Amino acid sequence: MATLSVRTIAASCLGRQPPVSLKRDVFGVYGSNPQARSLRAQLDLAQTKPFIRVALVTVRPTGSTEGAYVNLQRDLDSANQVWQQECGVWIYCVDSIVAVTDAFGANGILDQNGCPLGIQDDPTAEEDALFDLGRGRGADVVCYFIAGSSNPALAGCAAYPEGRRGFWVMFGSSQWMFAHELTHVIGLNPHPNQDPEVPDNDQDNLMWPTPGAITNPPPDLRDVQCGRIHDDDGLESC
Amino acid sequence: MSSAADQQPPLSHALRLALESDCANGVEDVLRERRPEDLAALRSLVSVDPTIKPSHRQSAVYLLGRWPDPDSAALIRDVMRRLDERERINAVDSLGRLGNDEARYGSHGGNARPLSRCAAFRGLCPGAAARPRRAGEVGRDGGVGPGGLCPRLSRPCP
Repeated sequence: MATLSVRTIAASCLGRQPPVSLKRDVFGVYGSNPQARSLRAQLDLAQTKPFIRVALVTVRPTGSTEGAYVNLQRDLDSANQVWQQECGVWIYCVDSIVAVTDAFGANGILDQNGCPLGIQDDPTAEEDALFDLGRGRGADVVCYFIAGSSNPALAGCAAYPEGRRGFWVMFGSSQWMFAHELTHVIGLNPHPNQDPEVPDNDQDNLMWPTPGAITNPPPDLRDVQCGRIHDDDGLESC
Repeated sequence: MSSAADQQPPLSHALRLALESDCANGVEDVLRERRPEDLAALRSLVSVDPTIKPSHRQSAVYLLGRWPDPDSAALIRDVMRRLDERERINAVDSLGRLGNDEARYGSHGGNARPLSRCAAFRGLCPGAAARPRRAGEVGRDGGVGPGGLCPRLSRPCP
């Protein structure tokens, strides 16, 4: 195989034009989660494996001086670990922004209707406002890190208004919550008890309804679940 | 002395799974199925008894607000004053969704006092003043100008 330059791979596989930042444009790293990252392995990944583009939005109330969610890179790396090991698919983070807004009040609590799998037919005004954020950044899937919704026991939801795919994750959630919600969106994978192809008691599975209680981490995904991810229209290949 | 946990109906496996779920999609199954035994079990969890897990109580309050049976409103009202502020937001949201007289007024004989999202907001934020209502604008308490408009629950305490 001919040796291609980083710039060529960034342009032809990831759509990035010079100047190219290795950290952001090639690795898709936008936060802090110290670990060794191999450029060779990343370029190989970009050239050979399908990927999904994701943008990250940290939502803060007006007046907040806090920046991006502190665990966003940990969550992204955890999701990449599971998707790459189990399904041979990787997650390319194209951007990360902080949205400071009064749309969700001073406490940033989202007014959430139900949480069906996939399209939310009846979004509240606040859901509608949330899923408007972070659009036009090169990803059709956006993850929102927020303070939570009315029920503090619920830490994530993957119901989105039609045409604006995305999901939210509550600050302080389990490191697997991001991957869990993303896997709801990509492939519309349900929880095991709603999935005829996955045993109800598969607590090792990423789609276990309580991601923080998953046993034997890192979590598993079965072939049928990976198949649904691979079939998603949002996946790209170099 | 028996605790609330001793007296509560047994939780089905499906309901227990839903109550343990921290992915919001996990509680949807309960609302889809709407089993009468689940309704009874959920109501038994709306208590500040220390033997009941707070996360179970919160999800019970959340689910009862989305279960079209207005009889749950009195239970939520009764427990609401003893919840912390974060849980009270959940309770007020559920009462707002039930939206019946019990949710709004409760049983106070001839001395009914509205308990709307607005009233609850004021309870959480003592001394908070409602902003003036514009002509024709309908407040969350159902009132129409020219009185005060309920501030949104999630707004800061003035």
